[in-house]
Amino acid sequence: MSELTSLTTSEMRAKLLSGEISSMELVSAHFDRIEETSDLNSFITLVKDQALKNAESADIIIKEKGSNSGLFTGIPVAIKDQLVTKGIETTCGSKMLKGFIPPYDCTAVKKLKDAGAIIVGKTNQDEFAMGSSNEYSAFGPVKNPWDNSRVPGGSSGGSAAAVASGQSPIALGTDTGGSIRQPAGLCGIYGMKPTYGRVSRYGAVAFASSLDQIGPFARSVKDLALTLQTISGLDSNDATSVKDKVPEFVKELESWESKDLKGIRFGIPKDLMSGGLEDSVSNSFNEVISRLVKLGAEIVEISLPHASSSLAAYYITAPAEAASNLARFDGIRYGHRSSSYHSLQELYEKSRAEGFGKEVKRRIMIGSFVLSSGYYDAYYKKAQQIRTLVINDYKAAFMNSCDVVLTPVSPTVAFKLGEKTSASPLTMYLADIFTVPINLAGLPGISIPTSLSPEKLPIGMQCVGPLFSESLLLGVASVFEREFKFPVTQRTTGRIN
Amino acid sequence: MKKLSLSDNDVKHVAKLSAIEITEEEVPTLKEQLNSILDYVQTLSEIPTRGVEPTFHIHPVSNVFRDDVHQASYKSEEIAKIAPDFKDNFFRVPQIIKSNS
Amino acid sequence: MSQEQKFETVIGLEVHAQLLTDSKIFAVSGATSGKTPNSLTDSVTLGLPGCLPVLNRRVVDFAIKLGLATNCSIQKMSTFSRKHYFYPDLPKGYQISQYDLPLCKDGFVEYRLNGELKRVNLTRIHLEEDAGKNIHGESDGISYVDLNRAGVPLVEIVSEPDMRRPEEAGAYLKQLKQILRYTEVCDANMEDGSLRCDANVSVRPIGQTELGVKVEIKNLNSFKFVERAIQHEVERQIAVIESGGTILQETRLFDEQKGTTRSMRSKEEAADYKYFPDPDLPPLIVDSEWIGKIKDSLPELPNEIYNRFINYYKLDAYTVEILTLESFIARFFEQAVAAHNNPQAVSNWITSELFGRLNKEGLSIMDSPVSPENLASLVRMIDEELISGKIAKTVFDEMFESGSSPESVVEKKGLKQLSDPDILDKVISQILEKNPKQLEEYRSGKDKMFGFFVGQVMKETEGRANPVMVNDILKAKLA
Repeated sequence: MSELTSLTTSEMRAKLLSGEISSMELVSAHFDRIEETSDLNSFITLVKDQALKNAESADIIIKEKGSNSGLFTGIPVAIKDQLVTKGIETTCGSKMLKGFIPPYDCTAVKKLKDAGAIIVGKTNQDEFAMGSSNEYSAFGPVKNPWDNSRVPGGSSGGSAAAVASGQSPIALGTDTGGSIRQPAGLCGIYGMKPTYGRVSRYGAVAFASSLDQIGPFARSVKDLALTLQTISGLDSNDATSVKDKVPEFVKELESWESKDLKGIRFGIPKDLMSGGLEDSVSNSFNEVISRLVKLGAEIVEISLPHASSSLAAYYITAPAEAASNLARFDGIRYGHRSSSYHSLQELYEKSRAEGFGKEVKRRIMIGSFVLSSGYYDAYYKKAQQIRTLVINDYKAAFMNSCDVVLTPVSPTVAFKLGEKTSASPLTMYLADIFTVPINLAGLPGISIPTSLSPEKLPIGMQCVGPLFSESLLLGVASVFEREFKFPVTQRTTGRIN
Repeated sequence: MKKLSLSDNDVKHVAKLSAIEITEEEVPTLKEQLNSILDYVQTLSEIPTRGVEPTFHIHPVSNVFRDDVHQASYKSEEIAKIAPDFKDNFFRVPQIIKSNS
Repeated sequence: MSQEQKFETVIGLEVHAQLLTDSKIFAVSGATSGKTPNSLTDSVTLGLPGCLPVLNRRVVDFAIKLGLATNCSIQKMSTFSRKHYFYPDLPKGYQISQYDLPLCKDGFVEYRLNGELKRVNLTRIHLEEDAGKNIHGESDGISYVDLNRAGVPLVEIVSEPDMRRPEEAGAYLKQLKQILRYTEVCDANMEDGSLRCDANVSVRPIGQTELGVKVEIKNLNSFKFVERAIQHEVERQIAVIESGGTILQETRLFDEQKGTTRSMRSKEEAADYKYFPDPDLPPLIVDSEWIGKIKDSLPELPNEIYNRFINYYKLDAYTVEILTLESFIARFFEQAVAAHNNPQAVSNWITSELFGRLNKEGLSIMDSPVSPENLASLVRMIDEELISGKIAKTVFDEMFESGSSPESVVEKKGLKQLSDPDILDKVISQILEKNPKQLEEYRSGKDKMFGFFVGQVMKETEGRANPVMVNDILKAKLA
């Protein structure tokens, strides 16, 4: 039954409805796969008993309601541990929240549950979503299903690895500077960061509130669309979620089945592409471009003069907001409290020193510094001005030159575990150059696996569109999917080394 | 803007501001790491932004409200489950000596 | 006191008022007080990871109302910021507050002090969330945290340094309280903490234009303490300067027991609040339509009512002061006057008899057993000479006890004034007959015996005899 772990959710749905398989079998098969590939360390918490119980109920519901049942009825999903789940331990990859069982559900999670999805567990991640390799987890690093000695990317590394390895057909992650797109790229699956405000942030433990966005991972564009469709929409609990009607992503995707890329203009930002690309990535990128031309696409060079400043603006904005958002972790109402304190001040300082890992502490300190008295204008405000310039760059590009901005997801393929953590923290930050500007501008971005490097590591491309252009991005991705035929299921069965 | 870099004392001050205890031994490494990050982000000062409005919200959304209707609270058992020290309906902390609110 | 004449005191107040909403400013739990500790705690109030604030619309309505009542300009756009500090009663590690762009700016409040109309300019009124409460253990080394109050909506009303004497601060604060209560946005009770005040106090030599070093005084929990603390602080600052010292910019805490202030923290120790715009809360945009709607709902304000009462009812300032203290007193008065148009007598009855009894029973005028209409009837019966003023007090007592109308009390107890000349004639004749000795004395020139006869008539009629008629008849008979 191991091929069950290679199916897309739409294939699973068809088999469940026809009675060919039961949800029990499906969920069990995934737990078998999780066990078989436990070396990946992609989960922090597994909820097998609960999942099997839910599968039993799902089978009854399917029998009763058939195709009237929720789209994900009886289908396993994995949830990044950054998203709170009622009754299921939620740690954000931090010792700070070890043992924390939230009394409420994240809106996106609730929507998936309401559609019948069965949570198999909470995926590993960089602590509080701060990291690009998943090595900054208090629960150990996640390994890349394509090569155990390499990182899966981060911060949603567990979700990416789970989907790539067949532990779950889809997963939710969060993306603040690339945390969905980059691990999706390094693990050879699809991942999307929706437009800021498209998906409610309620219940996503805040890292950088003005940048955070929840999004899906999947092994097919259609699954990506299905999941996005399910979790999107205005939420009265999130004042930054947008009113705009959610398009019927799946339906709109169908219209691309017969389309190529004729008339679609892909913009290549020359400012971002100057240097730093690994050869295999560079070669793959060039090959993608020539294939796109054959598919009728128009390739235009565009200028995003401030995109390269995004990284610096990001590494002010994100830590500043993180320092603020993580102030609530004080060992008083929930979370880790030190066992050795003699005063209130010590309670704070020791609990936070013990509960947070090194990278989180660094970012909190940077954030505290840039917001401290006398520095706000030079740092945070300045970064938000840069943000305006970045937004304007993209606006101009979309208005004048192109429909989609195309770059690689990441300048390198998956790097070796330990390769970047031993260097200056800055080395890791530089890996986010292609993904970070998109968060600053609030734009939607999709990560599409296109080829394997000579050492058989996935290489992904990122397509970015204007605000609320998810449908276009999904459509374009579906053409890539059809044309490039990336082997997304290569790691969903069999041994992983 | 002049290039700024943190001294040992600055690092300790920032740690205090962050309510994170650090040891003397941690200071040199932290100083180096924080300064390398600050060095990098300070490159922004070279980009002219006079007259550029900062973007604090991506969308021009305003006036998102809820109605003034109260809903049920958590029960004390639920709070007790997640709190490190909750007794007789109170969160408990070491005696607060100095008021600084 | 001679020292004080060389110095001028400069006072500004920062007043926090809790708004009377049903739920919290950014959260769904109730905003009431006096509940079991931590029983008004939803996810947002507890600051649980993943939670987000959403602004309560009524909070904005209330703040606009207050802004209009204090002559502020309501800002088209205002925003929310985060003010950071670590304290157990502050669940998120930051307080959401309006910082650089407040909702209301540039207002003023006019108040009267010793008959003089004075004005305090307001810098701003902004919205923020209240913190919870820390209860400090006595001996067990533990502090107890209750988050019920955390997230209760507050307005902070910041005045210009426009006051020059402690009494001015007291009078301004009372006026503010009156406005808050008239507009029904806050119950403004300092003892309960729904109205809180910090004072910024400095002194400078008379004639100096630049301000002295400002000291902030916290923990002023009653109107009395506000004036007392400022007075003490002024004396302290002058003493420091006179003895060659300098005033430090600091925050001081008022000690109610000792009546003194003590240092809480210096400027150097002041927290670094790391303000930045809250990314979770979009800006607040208030258009003229919204402002217009609130303007239409604005009640008559204390000073407007005061002026109207003075001019229309021709009452004295002191009486009007009392009648307009609360909107419901003014309303009671006007309802009574509408039923019987004798403002002077009605106001006398309210401010003396009615308030006397209400105070004794610990009741508010809203709970008065005597309705405005019944009080008006009572006054009318006196004016129409149906009962005497003296009897009226007995009738009033009965009305207060039973809630009955004066007519039914008078009827039931037979207290109607005796104005029948035949009856009075008969009574007086009998009295004169019964007291020949006194009659003799009167006739021999003892004029004061006239009073004796009046007294006897009143005694005989249980006080019901019409005194004017008694006089007339007696005079005629004795002539």
